[in-house]
Amino acid sequence: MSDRRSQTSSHVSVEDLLHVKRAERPPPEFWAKFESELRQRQLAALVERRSWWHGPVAAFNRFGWLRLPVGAMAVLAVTVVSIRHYSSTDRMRDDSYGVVVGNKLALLSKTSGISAESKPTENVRAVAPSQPVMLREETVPKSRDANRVVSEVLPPPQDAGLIQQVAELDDSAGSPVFEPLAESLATRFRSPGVVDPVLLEATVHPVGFEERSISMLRSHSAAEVLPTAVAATEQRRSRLLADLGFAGTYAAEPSAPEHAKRSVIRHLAEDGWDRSISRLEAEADRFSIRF
Amino acid sequence: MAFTKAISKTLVMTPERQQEADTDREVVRQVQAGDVAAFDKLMLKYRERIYSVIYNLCANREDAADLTQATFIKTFQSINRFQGQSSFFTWLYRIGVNATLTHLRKNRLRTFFSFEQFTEEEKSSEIIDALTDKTGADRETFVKELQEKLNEALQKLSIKHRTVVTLFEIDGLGHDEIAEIVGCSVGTVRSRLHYAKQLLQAELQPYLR
Repeated sequence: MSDRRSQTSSHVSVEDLLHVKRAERPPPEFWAKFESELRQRQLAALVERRSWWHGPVAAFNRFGWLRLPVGAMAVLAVTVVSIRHYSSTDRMRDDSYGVVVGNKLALLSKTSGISAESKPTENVRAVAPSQPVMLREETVPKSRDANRVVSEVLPPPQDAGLIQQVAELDDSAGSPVFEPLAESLATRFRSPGVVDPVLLEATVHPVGFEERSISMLRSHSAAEVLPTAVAATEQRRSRLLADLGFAGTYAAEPSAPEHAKRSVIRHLAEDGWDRSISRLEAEADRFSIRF
Repeated sequence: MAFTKAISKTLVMTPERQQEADTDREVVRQVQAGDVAAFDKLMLKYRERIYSVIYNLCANREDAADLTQATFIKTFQSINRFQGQSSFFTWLYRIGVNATLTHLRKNRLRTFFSFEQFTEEEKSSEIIDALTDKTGADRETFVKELQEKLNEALQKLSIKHRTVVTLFEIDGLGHDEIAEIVGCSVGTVRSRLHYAKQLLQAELQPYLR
């Protein structure tokens, strides 16, 4: 290499070296072969059967510049439709629940004097506070023990006519969703020593029931019923655990009934508490309200 | 937009290039009208240049021949889509370069070089003479060695840089034409060219005076 440098004196640049590459050419016979091969491939390409999707893809490619806006619009449309679908599904679920409860309570209003023409959700708001079970935020199972405890706390019945009306209502009710509650309600009304006079008053004359419910809660019955009912639940749970062979003693969280009671009192003591009801649920053997 | 672009390209073209583009456009129109034999004129005119570009990009004569044929077949198949917004040769180059780049990306790991024979010309002979005073078999050996070194240096460049260097230095295209073929701005072409030359200079230092 050093020999070469010493032997030459003229200037050689990168461009000059790259110019040497231009001199790399195939021999003339190469092009004869090239041409015959190209002819063969050209004919093969002409007679080649194209797949069925070539046509649509080629047609789509002609509008290639539309890909981005069309894609963006499609994504936007799918998003909007999904959002609307899911929101309407949720609303329908809530509305249907309200309607079921509202229809049932509209039947109740025939006996209690609440306007049946009002909206179902209003009916829920209007009637729900007058029911004794709504005070249980904790789930209370429909067991004999629990009913017995409740009946021990509540004063004796005073309106046999109302009991009869509710029992008839319970028989005529067709909604399977509400049956367990109606059944338990009717049973409770039928059994002696269950109906609270304040509850009777609130059911027959619902105007101003909010104040009465709060005063009722503050006075004695609800505040006493709640821990008792929860205690019954705990007893049942302990019994079930014992049946299942649970060796240790089950101790319920001591603060749970107290916490539930405080929570219910706090919600009921607020102005317009009925509007804070977010969910009203009636299932097989329980009835719960969520604020 | 495309019309404005075509007009601006036409304005910057030299008269020779413009005449050549017009001739090509006329032949393309004949092919589009159904005169398949007219395509041979275009093929004969551009086959060596296309082959040269592809060969210098992939450094394999068999692959270059195959890709050149594929380029002409693809051009023939899609000639009805050519609307004359750019010159035919730019369009043809774009097809060839894209086919080669796709091939190189697919076969990145498979590198097998085969060289064309060196044809002595006035300019290239001068350069060889400047590099060596050997004659006969020694000169041929030196040329082979130089070919290998040049090829090695080019293959060390990235595909993008190699494309720009090949089109500018070996094929002699302008910056704007390269920009149109590669699909980037003229500034990018200049920048890539500058960077590629720096790398080549470092690689080919023993041969530079």
